Amino acid sequence: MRATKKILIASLIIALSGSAFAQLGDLFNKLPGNVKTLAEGAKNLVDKTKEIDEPKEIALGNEFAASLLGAKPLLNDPALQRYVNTLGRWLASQTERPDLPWTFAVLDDVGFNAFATPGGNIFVTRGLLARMRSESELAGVLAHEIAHVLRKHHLNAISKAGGVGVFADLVASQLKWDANLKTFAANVFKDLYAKGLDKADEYDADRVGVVIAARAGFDPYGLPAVIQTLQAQSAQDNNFSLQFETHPSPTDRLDNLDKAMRNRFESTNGSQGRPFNERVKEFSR
Amino acid sequence: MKIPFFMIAAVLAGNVMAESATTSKSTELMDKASSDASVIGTLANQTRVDVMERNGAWTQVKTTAGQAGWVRMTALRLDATTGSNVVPASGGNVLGSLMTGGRTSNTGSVGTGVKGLDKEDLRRASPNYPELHKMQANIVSKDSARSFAQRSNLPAVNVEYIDQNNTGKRGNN
Repeated sequence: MRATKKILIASLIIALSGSAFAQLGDLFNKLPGNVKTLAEGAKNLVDKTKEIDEPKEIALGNEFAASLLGAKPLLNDPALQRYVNTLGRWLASQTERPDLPWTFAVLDDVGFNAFATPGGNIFVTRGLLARMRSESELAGVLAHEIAHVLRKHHLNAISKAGGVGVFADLVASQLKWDANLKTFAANVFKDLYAKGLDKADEYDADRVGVVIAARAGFDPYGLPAVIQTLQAQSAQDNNFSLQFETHPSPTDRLDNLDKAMRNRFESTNGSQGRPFNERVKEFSR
Repeated sequence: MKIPFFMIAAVLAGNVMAESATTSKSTELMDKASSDASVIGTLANQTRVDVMERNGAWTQVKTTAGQAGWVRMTALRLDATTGSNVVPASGGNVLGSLMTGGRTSNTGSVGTGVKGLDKEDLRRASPNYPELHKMQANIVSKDSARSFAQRSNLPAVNVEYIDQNNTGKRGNN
C-alpha cells in the first residue's frame, strides 16, 4: 500500500510539474476526496522541490538590502555598526541557521523601524536605537527580525503576492534566475517593503523573537517593552507611520505575546544587558 | 558633520528623563518583581505613576503619593511622548543623541532627512551596491560574537520555541 501510494504521488508530481503546475488548482477541485488527499501531499512535495535554495535566498536578500540602502544609507558610525553586528551575531548564533552570512546595519534614518531580508540582512534605524531603554530591548528587536529570516516570511509574502507562478518559475531555472534577478528583486522590493508582511507572520516573529533573546541570555521581555513604547506613539507621527502601516497594532501584539509568554518566562533571570555608554567605550577602542 | 560615537557618551551620560504611565486596569503593587512577592497595595484603574525600571514582565513604578513597587508591565499604558523627537531615556540611553546629531553617510547620496523613511522612499529607491558592500564589510564572526557574550555575562540558554509544531533548535555553538 505504501509503495503504491509512493508511486501514485510520484506520478502526480510528474503530471503536475512544469506548465501543468499552474492548472493545479483547477485539477485539484475536480478530484474525488481520497485522491484529493494524495494530491495535496503531492502538491506539498512539488512546493518543496520548488523551494528556493540558500544561495538564491541570500542573493535575493542582498538585492533587497541594496534597494533599502538606496532609500536610506548606512549611519556613518563604525563603532556603532560593529556593536550592532556583534550583538546581532550572538543572537543569530542561537538559532537553527547560525551559519547564514548574518549582517546587521544601522540606517541613517530618524524614523523608528527595523527590517530584515531573506538570507540574513538585518537593519535598524538610528531613530529606533535612540529610543531603546536597554540592550535587552535592542536584542528583542533584532531577534524579531532574525525570526523573519528563519521562518522565510518574505519568501512566503512573495509567493502569495505573485501567485505560485512567477517566483517558482524564476527559482526553477538558473538561466532565468541569473538574467532576471535584479529586475525582479527591484520590482518586488517596492511593494513588499511598503506593504509589509502577513500579520500572522509578525505575531510569529514576536513569539520566536522572545525565545531567541532568552536563548542569548537576555530578558525576553525586551521586545514586549519596545512594543509598549510603540503603543504610546501616534500612528500619525511620520517617524512612526511606516512601522504602524506595516505591522499589527501594538496592543494586539502585546496581547498575543502576553498569552504566549505567560507562565513560561516567569522564572527567567535574563539580563538587561550592558548600558549603552559602556558599549560605546567598548566598541570605540 | 560626524559626531563620533564616544563623544555622545561624554555629552549624554547621566541624562535621564523619567517616563510616566497610567494603569489600564486595577492592579496589585508588589514589593518585588515576582508574582511570589508580597502585595503591598492595589492601584486603581487609571492611576498615574512614574516609571522607574523594568525587570522581566514587571515594571517598577512610583505613585504620586510616593509609594513605590512593582506591577505587571501589561497593566500599564505608557503616556504618549509630546513629540516624536522626545526620547524615552529612562535607561539613560546615550544613543538618544542619534536623534539630533547631524549625521551623514560617507557614500550615501541621500542626505539626513528630517522625516522618517516612508512608503514613497521605498517605492522610489534604486539599489545602492557600494553601500551594500560597505555593510558586508562589517560582518562579525561567530567567534567574536561568542567572546562578546562571554565578557558580557550573556550565557547561551536552552529554551524551546513557543509553538509546539516547530522543530527549530539551536545550532551547535
